[in-house]
Amino acid sequence: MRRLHTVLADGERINSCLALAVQYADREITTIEGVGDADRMHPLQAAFVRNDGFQCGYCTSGQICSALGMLAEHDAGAPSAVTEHLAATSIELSDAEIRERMSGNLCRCGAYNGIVEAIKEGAR
Amino acid sequence: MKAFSYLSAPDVATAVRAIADRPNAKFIGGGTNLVDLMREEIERPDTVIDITRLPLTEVEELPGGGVRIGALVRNSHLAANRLIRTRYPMLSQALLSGASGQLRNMATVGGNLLQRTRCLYFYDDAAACNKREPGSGCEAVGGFTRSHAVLGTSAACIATHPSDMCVALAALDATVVAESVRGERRIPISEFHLLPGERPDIETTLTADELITAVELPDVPVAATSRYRKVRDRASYAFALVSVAAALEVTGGTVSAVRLAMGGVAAKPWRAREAERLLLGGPADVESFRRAAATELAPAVAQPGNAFKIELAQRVIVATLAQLLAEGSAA
Ligand SMILES: Cc1cc2nc3c(=O)[nH]c(=O)nc-3n(C[C@H](O)[C@H](O)[C@H](O)COP(=O)(O)OP(=O)(O)OC[C@H]3O[C@@H](n4cnc5c(N)ncnc54)[C@H](O)[C@@H]3O)c2cc1C
Ligand code: SF4
Ligand code: FES
Repeated sequence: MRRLHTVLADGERINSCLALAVQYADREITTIEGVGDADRMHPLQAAFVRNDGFQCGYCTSGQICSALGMLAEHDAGAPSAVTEHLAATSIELSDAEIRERMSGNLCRCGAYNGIVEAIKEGAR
Repeated sequence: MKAFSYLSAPDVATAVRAIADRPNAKFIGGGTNLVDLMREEIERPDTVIDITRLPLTEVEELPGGGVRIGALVRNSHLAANRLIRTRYPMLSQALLSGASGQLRNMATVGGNLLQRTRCLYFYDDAAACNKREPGSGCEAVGGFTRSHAVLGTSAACIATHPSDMCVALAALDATVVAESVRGERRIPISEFHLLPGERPDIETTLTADELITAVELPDVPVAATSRYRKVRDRASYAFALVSVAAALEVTGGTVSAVRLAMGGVAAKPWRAREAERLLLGGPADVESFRRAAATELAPAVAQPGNAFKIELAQRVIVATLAQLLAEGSAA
């Protein structure tokens, strides 16, 4: 499978590699560079550092952009494939929910446990 | 990728006029399938007509109790819609089991209906493939067939339709609404996708100049107790080996309403009409579920690599109906 990059378009996560740029001309695009940098880290970036949410770092920018979009979707009440009660208005962000919602971001190093912990901390 | 020109259509009339005037043009929705296929030069349009700015992004209740879904509604938005979650949960679950969060934010209803097969040989331009190049042969036969079809295949092609959403639409008797310069046409979902026959390159009854504007769901009371169950090689972010959309209503131990459709088994979402006919009015128990599933799969023909699907499909049908039965009697 092709490697897909995650960016935010008006705050919604998308895969830039399957997007024709011209289709997004009127939307605001945020890449990891817009999330924060070494001097001014976003709380979620700091949580990735604290919780060993990466090893080589190759997938990390995508994981963080995806997690930001995912948390916004969860805040808006969106269900996932593992949500037991679809009609529920509030859904607890369990480990299983985080793993399912983040399944579009693969990590070759297998840093998944740290990623889930970082997202839980970043969501608080 | 071949060079192409781009235009963005502000309204439906402009979109259908633009495609009628250009012989080798394609609409683009989320682009999640088309952009990939253009990179591989499997699709080679001269013009790409962007339809994402068309005002077809609403989910509205219809007077008769049904729902009209605009063709440009994103898969994630449709799955999260309250009306769909409560009245057609199998459709929400089907959408949520497909692709990833990022892709569902891009993918549209129209694009999902028209997504093309994931057959590996279709993607490999060094392989013979009747779907990609009519008359060239089919390298899947005798090859790696784990993902391929067991129902409705032909000597020319054994590919599956990869959509999850469409399996729920088939179970719900959805109608596809299409518009062209010739006017509007309404196509029942059962007549939308085609079995391969001798022309696997012709996949739907939609013509090249037609724009999908909406999908309509009729009022289906039994769909309120429905589920979509997908079996795949990993827990998430993978296409279905087999999937089942099922709805079940039981009155006094008897099946009083049932809907059943399968994914991953054919070139179209497979409505299990034979099984439904056997189930309706009969006892709601595992024995009857088994008999109905076995009858539906009786015509199945396996390849060496996918014989497991025939048994798996039956088990997923039985398990999904049994789960609905248990949930129904608990309620
Ligand atoms: C990595 C990956 C994993 C995936 N996993 C799954 C999965 O598990 N389950 C699943 O179901 N799907 C899966 N998909 C497929 C995905 O659902 C489809 O790519 C998507 O639904 C297509 O929608 P789109 O709007 O992006 O279509 P596009 O790529 O924009 O268009 C697809 C086709 O439809 C035509 N078209 C689009 N809209 C219209 C319209 N309104 N009228 C007429 N023609 C139109 C285009 O011309 C094109 O031919 C996956 C895709 C990827 C890349
Ligand atoms: S199964 Fe169909 S899509 Fe796959 S190689 Fe054969 S003809 Fe092509
Ligand atoms: S940290 Fe190495 S791929 Fe994820």
